[in-house]
Amino acid sequence: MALVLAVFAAFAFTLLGRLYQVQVIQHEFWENEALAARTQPVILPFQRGRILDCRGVELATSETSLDLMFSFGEFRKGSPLGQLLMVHYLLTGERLTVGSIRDDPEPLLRRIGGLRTEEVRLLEPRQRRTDLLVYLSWLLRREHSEGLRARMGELAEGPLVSDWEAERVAIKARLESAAVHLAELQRDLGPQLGRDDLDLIEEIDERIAWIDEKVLSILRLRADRDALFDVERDLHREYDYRELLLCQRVPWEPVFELAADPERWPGLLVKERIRRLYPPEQEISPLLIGWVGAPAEEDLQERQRHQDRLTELRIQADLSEEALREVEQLRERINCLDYAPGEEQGRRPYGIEGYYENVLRGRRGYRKVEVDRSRLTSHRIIEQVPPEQGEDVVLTLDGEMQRVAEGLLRAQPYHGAVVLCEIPDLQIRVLASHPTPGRDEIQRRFAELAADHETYPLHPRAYAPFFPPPPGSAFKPLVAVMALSEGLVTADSTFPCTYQDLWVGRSCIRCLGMHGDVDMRRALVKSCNHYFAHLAVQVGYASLHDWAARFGFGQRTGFLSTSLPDSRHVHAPAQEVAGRLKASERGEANLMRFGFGQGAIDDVTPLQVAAAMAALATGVYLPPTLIERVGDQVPLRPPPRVVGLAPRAHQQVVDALRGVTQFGGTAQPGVAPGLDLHAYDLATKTGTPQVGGDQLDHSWFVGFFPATRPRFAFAILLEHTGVHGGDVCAPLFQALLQQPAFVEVERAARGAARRGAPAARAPTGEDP
Amino acid sequence: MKSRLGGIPWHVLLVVAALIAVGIVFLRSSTTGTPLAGLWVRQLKALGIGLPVFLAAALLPTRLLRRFAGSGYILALLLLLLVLLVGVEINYSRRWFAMPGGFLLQPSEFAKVAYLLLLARHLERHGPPERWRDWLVPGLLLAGPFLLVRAQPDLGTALMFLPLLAVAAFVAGAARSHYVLGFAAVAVLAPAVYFSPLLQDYQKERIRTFLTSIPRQTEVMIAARRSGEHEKALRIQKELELLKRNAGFQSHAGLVAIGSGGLYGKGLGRGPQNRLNYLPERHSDFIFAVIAEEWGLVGAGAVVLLYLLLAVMLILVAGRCPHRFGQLVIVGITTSIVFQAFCNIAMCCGVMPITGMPLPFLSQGGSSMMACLAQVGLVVGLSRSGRSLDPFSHRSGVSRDPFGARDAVPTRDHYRASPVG
Repeated sequence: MALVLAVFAAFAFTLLGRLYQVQVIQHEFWENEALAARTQPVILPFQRGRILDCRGVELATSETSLDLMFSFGEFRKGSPLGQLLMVHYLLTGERLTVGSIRDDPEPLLRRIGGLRTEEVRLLEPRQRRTDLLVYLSWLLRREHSEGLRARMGELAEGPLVSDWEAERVAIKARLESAAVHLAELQRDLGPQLGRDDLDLIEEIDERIAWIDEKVLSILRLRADRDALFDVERDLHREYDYRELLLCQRVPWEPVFELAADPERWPGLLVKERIRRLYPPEQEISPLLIGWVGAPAEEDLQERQRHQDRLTELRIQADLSEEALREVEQLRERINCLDYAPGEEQGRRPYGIEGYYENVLRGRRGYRKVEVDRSRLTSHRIIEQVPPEQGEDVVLTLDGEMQRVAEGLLRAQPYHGAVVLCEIPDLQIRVLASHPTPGRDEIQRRFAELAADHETYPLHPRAYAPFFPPPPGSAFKPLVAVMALSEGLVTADSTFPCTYQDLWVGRSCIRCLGMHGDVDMRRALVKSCNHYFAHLAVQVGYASLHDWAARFGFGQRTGFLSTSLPDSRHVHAPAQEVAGRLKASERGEANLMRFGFGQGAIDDVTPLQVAAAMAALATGVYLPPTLIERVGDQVPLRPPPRVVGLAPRAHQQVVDALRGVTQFGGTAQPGVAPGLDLHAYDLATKTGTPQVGGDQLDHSWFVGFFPATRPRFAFAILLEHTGVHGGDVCAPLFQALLQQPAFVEVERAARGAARRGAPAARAPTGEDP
Repeated sequence: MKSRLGGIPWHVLLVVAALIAVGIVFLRSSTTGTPLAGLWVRQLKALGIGLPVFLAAALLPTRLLRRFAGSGYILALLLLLLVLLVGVEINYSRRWFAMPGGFLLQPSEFAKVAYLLLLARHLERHGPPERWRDWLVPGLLLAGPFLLVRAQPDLGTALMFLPLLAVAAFVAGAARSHYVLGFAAVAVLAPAVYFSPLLQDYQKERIRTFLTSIPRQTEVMIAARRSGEHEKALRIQKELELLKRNAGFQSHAGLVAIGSGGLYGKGLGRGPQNRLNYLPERHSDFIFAVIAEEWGLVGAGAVVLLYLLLAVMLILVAGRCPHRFGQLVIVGITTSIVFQAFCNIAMCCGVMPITGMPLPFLSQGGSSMMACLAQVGLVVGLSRSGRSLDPFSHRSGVSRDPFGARDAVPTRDHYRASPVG
């Protein structure tokens, strides 16, 4: 008996040893396992920063709404409809629709009732058999499938489900009640959503079909056909639990019950979502504001990579300080920063949403709650990190003016752009392009737009034209001011313009009129090409190139980029076009063409031209900007560059430009029907650049105003009009000034400078 | 007879009472807030029904036990047969008779006692198996209940019959060489049985789960982590994730509850795995895991030691028992209770495959409670029998020294000479 006792004692002490091992030595591991098993993270979404215009009007904001979501994984486990669907699927490999199961479950039920153990035993592979038994046991309301499995082993042959009749009745009742619940929800929901034809089961079937399609498309790529079932099963595990949108913006009352008692509607859940909203009444070009979409696949993969790395680190027993820090960082990234499915991401490289993604995007918060095994009720909040809202981006744009300008442009028969900057800080108030696709056009047929190689609608003419235009005559005032500033000519020096065609070697330089001997003022007012051709020869290529660069040509303005005081930078070079300023050009004819803005400087953007006009007005070049504030920080601007204008030359050129809209100028009253700008204090210049081939000429109307104390610089471009700038662009400018939104601009144009407004930095120092 | 209460092994009853008390406390803890809340009251009722059974068993004269051992055994076989025909089926297993009042009666629990009594009488009458063929009769006696219980199917309980025979025959003085050879044979045959059609698929799966998965794999993984073999650890972790969700769910849940309990536990009623319903069968087979979670190593160790204490006391009582029959029955009962308890605990700790067997005195279950109480009752009755009913016990030649029992091998003659039939 002593031996028996010894055996018992040995057994007891083995158990104690084992308990010590599990509870003390491995305690930490199991504690973590327990924590992982019973905690469930709840994501607390952040609100994306708003995009505001200079008056504080919201151009993009967020709305909070309830969405009805569908999770196939939960549906197939919890709903008798889903269970039946899976049983059939596992038996035959064929997917029925939920609708057909609801309408006529009888054949399926008969099939299950007739299932025999020997039949199930033939199912291959083993996993499929196991799955089938699991689903059957759920369908039969058994907690574990062990009984069925025991039966499979127990009886050599026979029906798998004993006592089928009673089970059948019970299952049918459950099927019916599931269908009734769905129908009730649908009845409450449909009218409220304005969709009387809403059929939830049909919608559910669509989502399931989407998943199947997705899984199948991946399966087709897999070469290994051996473990096909397992691969498919894994894929389904991954896709089935994605929450798919059933109905957006559902009202609260119909789904209240669902949220309170989710077990009655397995697979359906109500989610509060924060979603981007572009107020339709504030709608301006989405190419400028940008848009949001699902996160890019590589960003989602990034999260997966972090997850993998974290798992890898967690496996290691003794982590170094550095590794612990990495774990912390990884957890923060995964929980708060990395893109998660269902989130919104600004689409690069379009607009503010794309460029300022990192600013607009906030930080997710999360909450870890203790849940029980059903995963439905939370018991305790273990850890909570509140979300951080995204920062607002305030634009210098005036939404109202922008919208009016876009509208007027749209009404033109030509493509084109309108740019208006406020001097002296070069804040862009209007940056309108035509054509500009609308928001739903972009959502629906983006690929088509991107493939449109005739109009290039995704290339805004104002700052990123696909074919940047030459500045043409709009360049002449700059040539004039540089020649005068360098003292190469005086305002009174004349050059001949005796023929329409000036032959240089075998090239022909054409002027639109025969101006005789012209001086600088006349050359500018009348826009004489020959004068500037000769002037260019006087100035020389190197000087021209140098001065053009000083006025900002050949460089991106970087109007979308910012440097913030906290040393954050947003570089947004992708969409803006720098234009072309050739470093050397052979031949006198080309040099001459440079003089009137063709040839060596044949690619500019309207934005660059407007900035150059501002530089001409003030004598300093400052890259324009679209960004007023980011959060509560005012971006740092690059220091203004002094262009180096001689005060007298500047005065002379401005005087000449004032003549353009007066009688005798290229935009004199009456050039186009109804055109009359002579009452305004404008310094402007028209332009009619040739664009090569047999295409019609572009038209420019550029300048700044009021001429005496400049407050605004502008550039208007219309493409392939075939007429002079004064004929189409000047009337457009006039039409803009007449709009109520432009009342302040109009007042400025009249020369009545806003009281208290900072005076433009006139390089002359003299106050006319 | 000095006193009516003389010879009652109070210390045994005290340990049993302690175990029952712990059981009720944890039944309450593990079912509060679930649909099963109030189970502890039922358990108290079962205890109430069990007490008369206990008293009856304690008052049964040893004489009657001997005489009716055979009839009891046959009755038990009939019940086992009957339960296969008219028993209620729960989870595809027919183990229970539905009794009035909603109680379930599990005849296999009583078959164990019946078998033990008959076995003890046989060993007393015919001496311990010294030759191989001596095993024939005890073996045949075993086969009946074993096969019938196995057919329910309830392999766990069926297997519990084996140690009864082994321990009782060993104490009776069976040839030691048989045991050595027997263990060797088991070691050889176990793999063969595993691959034979004797085991059901799901049973094989459980064994496979046990051999290849959660507890073993976890250990391998933790070892790999410690030794810096990260890749291996990662691979095993991934396998574990899969197993956790499938076959190894119960095993994993039990280990998590036990392991997270730590040294002192989470406090009574405060174990998250218990409270949040992560532990399946926690009021019955896995109640030990709840104890380990909420009372930690201290409480769980105490329970293990309580069972060991019970074993020591019962064996001391057996040693003091003046006749072979009583000794064998008490040792058998010790085995039946304590061995089963240890197997249950081992199963919770992941050192044995999971079989559905309750933890004696602690798990929910009226039949188990009643059967255990009846067995304790028998122990009480048998321990008193020497004094009150067997005045010649001092001449029986059985040493009072429990460790000297082996020296006094009773013989057939001894039995015949004994005045008590």
